[in-house]
Amino acid sequence: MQTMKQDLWSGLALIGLALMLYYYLIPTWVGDNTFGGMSPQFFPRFGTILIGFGGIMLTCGAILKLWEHDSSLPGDAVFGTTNLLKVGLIAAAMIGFILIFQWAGYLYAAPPFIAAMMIVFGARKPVSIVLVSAITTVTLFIVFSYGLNLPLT
Amino acid sequence: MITDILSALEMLISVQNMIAIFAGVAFGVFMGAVPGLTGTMGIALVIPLTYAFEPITAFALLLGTYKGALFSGCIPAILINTPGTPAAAATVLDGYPLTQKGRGGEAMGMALWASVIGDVISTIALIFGALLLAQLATKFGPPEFAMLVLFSLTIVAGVSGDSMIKGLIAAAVGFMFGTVGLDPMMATPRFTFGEITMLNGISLMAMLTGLFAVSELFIQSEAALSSVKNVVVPKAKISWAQIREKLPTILRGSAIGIVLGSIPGLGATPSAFLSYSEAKRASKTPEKFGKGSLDGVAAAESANNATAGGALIPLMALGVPGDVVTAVLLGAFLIHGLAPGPQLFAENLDLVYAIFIALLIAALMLPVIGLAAIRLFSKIVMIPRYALYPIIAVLCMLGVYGFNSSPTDLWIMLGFGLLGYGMRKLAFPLAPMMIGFVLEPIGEQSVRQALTISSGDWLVFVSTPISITFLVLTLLSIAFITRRTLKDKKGTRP
Repeated sequence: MQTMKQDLWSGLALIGLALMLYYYLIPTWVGDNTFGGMSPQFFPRFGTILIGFGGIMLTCGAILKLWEHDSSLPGDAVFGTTNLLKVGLIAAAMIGFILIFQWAGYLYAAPPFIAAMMIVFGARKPVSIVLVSAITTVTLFIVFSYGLNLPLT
Repeated sequence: MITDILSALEMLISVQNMIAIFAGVAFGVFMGAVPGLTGTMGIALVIPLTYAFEPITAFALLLGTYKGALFSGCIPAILINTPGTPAAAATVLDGYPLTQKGRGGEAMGMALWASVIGDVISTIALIFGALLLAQLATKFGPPEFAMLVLFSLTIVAGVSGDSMIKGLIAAAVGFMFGTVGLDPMMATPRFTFGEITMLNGISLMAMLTGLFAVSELFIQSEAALSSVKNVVVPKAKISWAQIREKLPTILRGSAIGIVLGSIPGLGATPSAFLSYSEAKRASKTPEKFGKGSLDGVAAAESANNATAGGALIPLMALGVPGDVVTAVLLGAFLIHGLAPGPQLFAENLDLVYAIFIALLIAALMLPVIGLAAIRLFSKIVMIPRYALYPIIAVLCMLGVYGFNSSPTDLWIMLGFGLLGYGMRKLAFPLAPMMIGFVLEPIGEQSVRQALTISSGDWLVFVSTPISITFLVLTLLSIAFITRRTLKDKKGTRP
């Protein structure tokens, strides 16, 4: 039941996306140079129509299924709060890594990022967190900077 | 031909390339053996590291990873009743009961040699199949390519899992992402939002790492992460007499794997199950299946590994990926400036032969690395996940950054990671999105070139027998998919 509702919302969101693409994003952000061949807008519009068509099909399918079943029945939530929290923490750690990496460099960004990720993934011993963070940071720095010749500073 | 083969050998035979094959197979075996890590994730992680390598070294490493991961899914399947890869699910049926009976060593030995034999046979099939198909493909011009891409897009339905509509939507979204950047004919900016860094389009590397590796990290963060402890690992032992006895099963499994692998959208898991059920049907003792039959292990593993060669046939000869892994491998080819298909055969035949030889060498390295992995499995499986996943996360970041030295790519990767996670949670398949993204520029360029040649006449797409054939195949494919969908709905409706 939960899946059908998710499909319904996904379908409606896709229809909205297709409309926004067709009426705003494509006219504004894709030039319409029709000199020879075809317009550069042709393929984006084709993709948009496919997305819109898919969205309509998904919505109709979900409505039909909800019609056939008792919509008051409970179901398993697709996104649980705990799961979303974990994903949010990982995403936040990644954002932190990227920002520190841009401003200060890899050697400052990696240790707190690895430590944060280890905690999210269940590590609890401070010694192992510090050791793994330090060893991984240094090893990958050596591998990328000297082994693969990709400067990280 | 002989000159090309000699040139390929000269290109391939070096210490660096042998180490690359060995390291690839070993890394693939590791990724496949640890439940929760996947071969696709392994390839996505390795691609950025290959940036600085010669193409042949890069593909030796990547294809080694592919083959290693295909095999090693059987190790946890047999020893701890947990398939390391989805394709190893059929191996569990008889592998684990054999371990429970104290015959785990025989099961491991049979799995290893059935995998090696299936792998070698499928690589030979790949060599002949791809060469023949590529010869035919040399007659392709822009209209034929455009129709081939149209046909390829219909195979999206095959890799869409349970919902064809969701596969179509994912492909359309990938297609839209493919249009970002300068358009291929008149260099008009599209969806660049005034950003100079977007003129080259979305980085393929950032997209595939985000979709396949970062989204996997998000998914894995949800799982209860407990490492397996105290696994008793038996020594893999099997006699030649036992292998000879199971040879018909292995050969049948290999044939099934090659055929099903070469059909876009099917892949290793259905091949393994079909081979298993065929072996049971042909067996004089079908009642032993499911209770610990070496035939069951041989059938599943030979088919599983033989799909690699089969799946590479359409990829190498036509540039058409049929599943997630080959879609990622196609991305790797493009990242190295190579477009699989007839052009690759025409311009880089020595490289193509070198890749084929590397695949054979990888198959021959499998017994050595496989045996070591089986012995080390108790150690591998005990690596704490809380140490493994953070390292993978940093590798994703550094790999993507190192490719273009662009922090923008890191944001794109994170965006695709979150998008991939959302799609997986809502049961939208990722492979069609990747296929749509990769095929859009090829298809658009072919269509627009064909229309330029024909002065805008759309009939150019049905002007040659080859393009008409692809149109008919496309229509047949749509009819088949529609029929299958309707049949499935009838079957599942209460």
